[in-house]
Parts: sequence; C-alpha cells; structure tokens
Amino acid sequence: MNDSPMPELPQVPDQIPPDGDIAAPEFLASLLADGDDDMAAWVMSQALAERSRAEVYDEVVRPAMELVGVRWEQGQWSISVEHLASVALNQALSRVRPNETPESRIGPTAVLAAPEMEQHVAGLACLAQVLEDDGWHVENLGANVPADDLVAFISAREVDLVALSIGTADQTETLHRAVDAIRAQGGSVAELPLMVGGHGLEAIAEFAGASLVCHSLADAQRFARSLSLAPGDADRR
Amino acid sequence: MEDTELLARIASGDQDAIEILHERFAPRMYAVAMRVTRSERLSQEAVQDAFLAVWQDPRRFDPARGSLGPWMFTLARYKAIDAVRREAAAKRHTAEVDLELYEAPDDVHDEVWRGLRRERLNDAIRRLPEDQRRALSLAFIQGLTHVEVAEREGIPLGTAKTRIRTALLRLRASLEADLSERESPGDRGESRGVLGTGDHVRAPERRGGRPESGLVRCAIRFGSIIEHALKLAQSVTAFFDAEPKAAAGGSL
Repeated sequence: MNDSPMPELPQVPDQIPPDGDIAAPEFLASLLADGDDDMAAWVMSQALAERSRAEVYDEVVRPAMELVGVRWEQGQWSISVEHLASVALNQALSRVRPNETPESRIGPTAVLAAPEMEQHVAGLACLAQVLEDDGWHVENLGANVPADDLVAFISAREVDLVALSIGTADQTETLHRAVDAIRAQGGSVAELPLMVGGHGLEAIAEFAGASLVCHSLADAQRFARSLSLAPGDADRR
Repeated sequence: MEDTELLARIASGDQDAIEILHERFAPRMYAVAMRVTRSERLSQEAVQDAFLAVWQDPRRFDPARGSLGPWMFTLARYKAIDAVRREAAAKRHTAEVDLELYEAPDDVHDEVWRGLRRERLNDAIRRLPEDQRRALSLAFIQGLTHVEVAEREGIPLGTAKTRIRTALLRLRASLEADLSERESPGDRGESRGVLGTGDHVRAPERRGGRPESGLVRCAIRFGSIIEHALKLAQSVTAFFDAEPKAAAGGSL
C-alpha cells in the first residue's frame, strides 16, 4: 500500500483519436467475459480503423477467444462465462460487420458451415465478414450441418467457394466426412474450391479433399482472392 | 521504462512514475471510460479513480496474468461503471429529495390555509356587531337552539333568529369578497369543477401529471375552502329562511 498522497495528475484531453492499441486481446477477452458486446465492438472498431479485418480478427479476436478458452481450462472462468463470451463475440461481430453494398448481393457466393456435431462458429462468423469485405456473397450455415444436407444445399445453388471450420480437434472426423461427401457428389460440386480450418488443424498442412488448410483468416482471404472472382461472376456462369 | 519497473517505483512512492504511467495510458483509459459513461466529467473521474487505485496499491497488477495496458483499460472500465453507478444513485437521491420537496408544499399550503381560514373567519366574526356575534356563537359554537339562544339572551325568538341570520349573511358577504379577491375567473371555474366532485386528488394528477405552481395549488385550495364555507353559510341561511314557520309552530 502506498500511503503518501498521489500527485495531482492533469486532465485528459477530451478528444481522443482512435487508438488500435486499445484492442489488446486480454482486454477484449475481459470484455467478452463480462458480456460487454458494446465495448467489445468498439474495441474492434478501434483496431479496424488501422488494420485490415483479417488482421484484426487473426491478431485480436482469435487470441482473445483462445484466452477465454485457456481461462476456462485453468478453471478461472466457468463454462457459463465462456458461453457468455461466445455470445458477446457474436453480438460484437454483428455490430462491426461490413456494410451491405449493391455489389455484395451479386458477388461470388461462398458457403460456410461447421460439420455435424460442431458447435463452434465464431471462426465462421469472422471469415464471413472477411469475405464480405472483399465483395463475396456469404451464406453462413453455422453450426452442426449434416454432411448430406450440406451437399444437397451446395448442389442446389451456384456456389463458388466452400469453407468448413471446426472448433476442436475432436471434430476432425466429422470434417473428413463432410469433405468426402462433397467430393463424392461429382460434377461441378466435386470441383469446388474447398477450405478447411479451425482448432485442431493448426499443425496440418494438407487435408484430404480440401483445396487448402487455412491457419488464419489471412490465409483464407488470400485463397479466396486467388480465385479471381468478381461481382457478377455468378451471373455469367 | 518497463511496466513492472514503473509499478515498482510507484510502490515506493515515486511521483514521477505515476505521472509517466498517466502519460502512457490515460488517453486510452479516458476513451474507454467515455465509451462507458458518455460523459466527460464522469470519464475524467473514472481515470483519476483508476490512477488513485494504482497509486494506492500497485501490487494489484499481476504480470503473470497479462500485460499492464489491458489491465489499466479494464481498471478504467470498472471505475467508469462505478462512476455511472454513483451518478445513478445520486440522481435517485435527488429525485427522492425533489419528491419530498414537491410534497412538502402541500403540507405547507394546508397549514397556511388553516391559518388563513382561521384568520379570515375570525376577522369576519370580529367585524360583526356584538349582539350578532354572541348569537352566532351560542348557536354554532355552543350548539343552542334558536329558542335557547333567545332565552339565554333574553330576547324574543324572532330577534334571535334575525341576529343569527343577519350574522350569517354578513359572514357570507365577507367571505365572498375574499373569494373574488383571491381567484381569477379561470381558477374559480376550475376550483368549482374540482369541488363539484368532492375530488381532493393532487392538482398535478388532475392536469395530466404536469406540475402546477405552488401559487396555483394554493389558490385552488383556498377557493375550495371558501366555497365550502359559502355552501355552509347558504345551507344555514336556507335553513333559517325555511325554519320560522316550523319553529314558530313548535314553540308557540
């Protein structure tokens, strides 16, 4: 304890410019754990003012959620807190999502999904926004999508890219089943560019049937851009 | 200077160190606090509170759990929430005091009016001729019948009735003069409307919740009492007007 009087500190200037340094993963994690999606979104927006969306999500959001997981594993935070953080993150992401443009409605289409039994979808939500920023039209199917249903969905529409994500290594098998089902469909579906990513795949360079194993959103963004699809491409098919 | 070294110096009472820390983090902490409070004043308070907390106990920061910056931002956020909580509590307290002050005037008005009523009635009664004042007192204060008043005063029954009736008419005239002096036509109409229902709800509720000035409320209440007094006087007068035959028949 410091018993001596604190010196008089100056008032802080009223106008503070956006400062991406506020967006530290530890701070974001504490906000999410408190369910403060408003401030979490504000912190993300501070970083987005200075860096690309893929960078912010890779370098701030992802480490923050990993920290939430670590705190849960260490018993510092309960399952409820972890769930609260997940919900808060989804809400915060919805607050900072890219603005819709006329072109985004006619952009190339990406279908995102988590395979059967997989409940973690924060990565898909982040990827959706990164792709939307680049003009993609994203159809994010979210959690727990059965392989057969996923194939039927993709086969029924014009799709340019598929991305599948898992949250734990335990779901690697279901991911394989989903990829295999898509490749077994034949025709144009079997030829679709297909990315996989998420926890459990960090140390994997290749995944059978997948075009790419993404270790970051930046990887996914680069791959999507490499497809050289532009708004309206879907209409020209 | 590293964060841990800075905190160690703060722990030893180094005032320069807290100033360096302030320079390093205060703007971002203020931005965090602003996001919470949306108030420059509360945000400045929150930042000051946060630095005071660090100054008083820098060992609260555990470097094993993360870096200093995020911890300072989190501290600023908590202090900002505390500031909002304090402000809300202060507003609640102010609202309660306002309510007490709002209700107090009614009691004051009542008390003022009671005093005014007593004073007005006493004035009016004092202005009565002595014989009429005494007859009135016997009839309305001591509760004697007209016959008893006549016997007590040693006057004929008709004279007693005349004195009492004349006294009431004088009081009525006197109180009517008060009423016309005190009320505007609009106020008089409203007070009658209110009195017509015998409704004594608070004036603000009658006006859709819009607070009325104490003066208006006082006027309404004053008019109310005056009107009651007039009605009483009219009733008594009417009674006297009708009573002679019965009274004469009964006593003679």
